[in-house]
Amino acid sequence: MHILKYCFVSDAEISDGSKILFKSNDKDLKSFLKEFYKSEKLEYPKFYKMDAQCKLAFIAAEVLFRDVVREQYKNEEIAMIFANSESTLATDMSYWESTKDIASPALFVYTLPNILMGEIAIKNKIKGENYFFVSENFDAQLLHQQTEIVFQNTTTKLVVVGWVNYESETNYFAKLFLVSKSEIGLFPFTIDNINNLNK
Amino acid sequence: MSRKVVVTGLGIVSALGLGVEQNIHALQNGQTGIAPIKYLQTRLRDQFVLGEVKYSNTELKSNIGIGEDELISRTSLLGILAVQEATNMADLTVDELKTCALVSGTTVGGMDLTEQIADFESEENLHEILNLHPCGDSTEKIASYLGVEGFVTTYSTACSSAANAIMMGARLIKSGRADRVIAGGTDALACFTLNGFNSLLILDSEYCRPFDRSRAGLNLGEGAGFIVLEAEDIAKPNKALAVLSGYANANDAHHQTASSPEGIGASLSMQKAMEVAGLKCADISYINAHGTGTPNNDSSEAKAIRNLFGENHPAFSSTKAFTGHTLGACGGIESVFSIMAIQNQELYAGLNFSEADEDSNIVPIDQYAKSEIKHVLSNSFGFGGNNSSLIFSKI
Repeated sequence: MHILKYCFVSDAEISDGSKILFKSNDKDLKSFLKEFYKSEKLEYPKFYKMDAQCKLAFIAAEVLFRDVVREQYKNEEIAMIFANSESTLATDMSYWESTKDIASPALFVYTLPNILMGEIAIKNKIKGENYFFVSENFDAQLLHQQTEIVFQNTTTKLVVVGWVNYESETNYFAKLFLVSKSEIGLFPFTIDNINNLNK
Repeated sequence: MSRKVVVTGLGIVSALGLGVEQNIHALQNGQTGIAPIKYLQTRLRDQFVLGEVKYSNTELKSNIGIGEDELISRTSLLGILAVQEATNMADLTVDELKTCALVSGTTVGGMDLTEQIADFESEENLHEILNLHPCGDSTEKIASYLGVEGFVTTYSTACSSAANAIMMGARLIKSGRADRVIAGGTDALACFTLNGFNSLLILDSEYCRPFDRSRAGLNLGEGAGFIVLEAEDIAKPNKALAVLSGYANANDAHHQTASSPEGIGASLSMQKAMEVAGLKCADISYINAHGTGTPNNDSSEAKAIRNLFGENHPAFSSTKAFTGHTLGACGGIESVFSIMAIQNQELYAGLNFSEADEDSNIVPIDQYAKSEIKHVLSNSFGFGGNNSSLIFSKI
């Protein structure tokens, strides 16, 4: 298993492992991501409907899939394994607030953590397996084990592995890896590398 | 890599009752568990019917032997009851339980307690209650109550959570990471989900009518369903009830909450599960459909069945008209039904069906019947396009 690409988003900064791709003075996640969206001329109106955590994951996945020859892989050959510690707590609370008046369907949709994988799947035409785990802390071993299991048991050739956590507009973090089953890539997909690769 | 995975224990709690016997009796006799709202404290009380487990938290606690004042979520209570039954049926010893893995699916966790906090400022037990909020807490509680000390984890992939938990259980065994896994799911009803599904306009205020042309939405339910999976090479003789022969998960990649009109994800997961099991379409004796009763799910699933299996599709039905849609637990509950269909060699009919959709024109079974059952396929589809299929086979 090898890491083909990776992407980090935190503190109003997006990097792809080798370099900082984007940096903003606006520390608020929503405005910073919108700035990036505009500067990249991403044309995907559904982006505006997403909640903050989903936007965070979505943008990281956009960076991840950039320059990947997507046609090399069939839709069913790409899987997703995500985890975080917050589940969708921020949106749960906004939605719960809304129920005091009229429950908001637009918010309720995002009270399921795996919806963010659904959004990435829709955009990138991914039809393989997809799982979302909630752990107390960043758990490289779990991500590694689950990726290994998916590769062993299916025709999957590529796995999007991610940790996406949104706590507040200024406290958020995304770490995404594009992992190939092959022996060629930037780095071997090991527990150490999942833990230690940073920016 | 190729260890055979057998099912040796079943446990279930649903609107149909506590335990396998009560549940199967209701299925055989066509008695639904869906009823006017009695337990959930909601302002929507008079608008909807629900598949509530017909016991208060106090009654559930006394049934398990937990003190009335102990803070524990309803999700955990339902889960403990089902796991207890499953591990008893499998005759697991204290030592075997200790090394067992537990994989559970849930979507609400301790939401039933959190949402009752009237005022965060003045709530005395705030921290104790919030500690029970995460989905993982219900799994931890089940593990500690039953004395399970192996690998414990929680799946949260909407309505396919329990099916994915069972699939992961099989893989833990096949890859030699575990010999014995308790897998399934548990979800309690909460105002959070009732309001949410109401806001999505996919609840029927009447009794749900899966696959019927007049269907108008789903009825929510609650419960827990768990099965004990063991590697065939370590399972006790004559304990195996069925083989978990196939499983698969695929993404529909169509919409956040709606299924693709042609049921692409559904077809993929059913097809891949049959590949894993080494079965052809003609080998499947019965499909326990996801069949929620929403116009969108049933039309998409019916088309997937029609496209994949053709005109001579296997008998199929949705048992959600009995239990309601139990969300994260449904894959566990319906696995128990699927395995009992094999055990008893019988088919469980759906309810409230009168006329098929014009375009797919496929008709679910509407009469309970004895039948030769070799392989049962069970579908669970979740929001986010997360689609899973499991196949259970006769020993």
